[in-house]
Amino acid sequence: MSARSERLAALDHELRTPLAAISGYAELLETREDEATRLEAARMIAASVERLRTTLDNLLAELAG
Amino acid sequence: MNTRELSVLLVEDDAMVSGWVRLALEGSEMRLAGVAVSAAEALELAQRRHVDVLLVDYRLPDGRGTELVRELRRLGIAVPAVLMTANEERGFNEAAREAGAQGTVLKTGRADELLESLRRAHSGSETYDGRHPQRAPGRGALSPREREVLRLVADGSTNVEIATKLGVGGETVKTLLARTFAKLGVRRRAEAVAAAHERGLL
Repeated sequence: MSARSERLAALDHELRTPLAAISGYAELLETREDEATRLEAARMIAASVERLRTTLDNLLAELAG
Repeated sequence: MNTRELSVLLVEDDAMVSGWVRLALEGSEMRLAGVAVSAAEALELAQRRHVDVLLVDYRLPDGRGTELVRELRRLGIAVPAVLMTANEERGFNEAAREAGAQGTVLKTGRADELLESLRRAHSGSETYDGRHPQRAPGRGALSPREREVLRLVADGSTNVEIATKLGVGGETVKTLLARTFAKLGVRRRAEAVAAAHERGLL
């Protein structure tokens, strides 16, 4: 695998993992009633968004490089 | 219907994902028996503890999930395994099957998809996620001989050295290499070794 396709695959993974986490935790927020689970889901959504923001910042810095 | 609780060993280094899996299993007939954060830890846990099904991330800090499943099978551990990835990867289902896994599942965040995949694998059915594109035509599984050649290439052997070690002629080595490269979809030795590692073939 070339360095470029390796980087693309890694980026794909870095972006999709928090996206999947946001979907997953959002589904739990919709379907679960216990407070502890809902609170954890909300916290994890916020953490996933933060991770996406960092990945995006790094990507933009890399492209501007 | 078997209503016994199913124990799941998760192999995942990302706490964001393992936290979701734990919550997704809650309320179902499954429970998270443990989380290994590396292939090495998973090997140790799987040998020590009986579980009903393994859920293995493809990208682990110390290797690929396919390599881990292949190693477990080599050790005689036959517990059903489902490999998961965040992205759709061409040929992933074929690579998972060749490694000895019973299925694949995309990390989409859908709890029902995850649970169904684990149930199917545990019941003995294959459960490959159809969203992974099929391997390109002509890129079939490597024969034992082709894998042997690939291992020697990875060790840094030259064609002459490979010919000597295998007891064959130089032309045969070239033919074997050409066939192996075609199946892997690569053109150079270094790419072949990288692709083989990537797919857990070595």
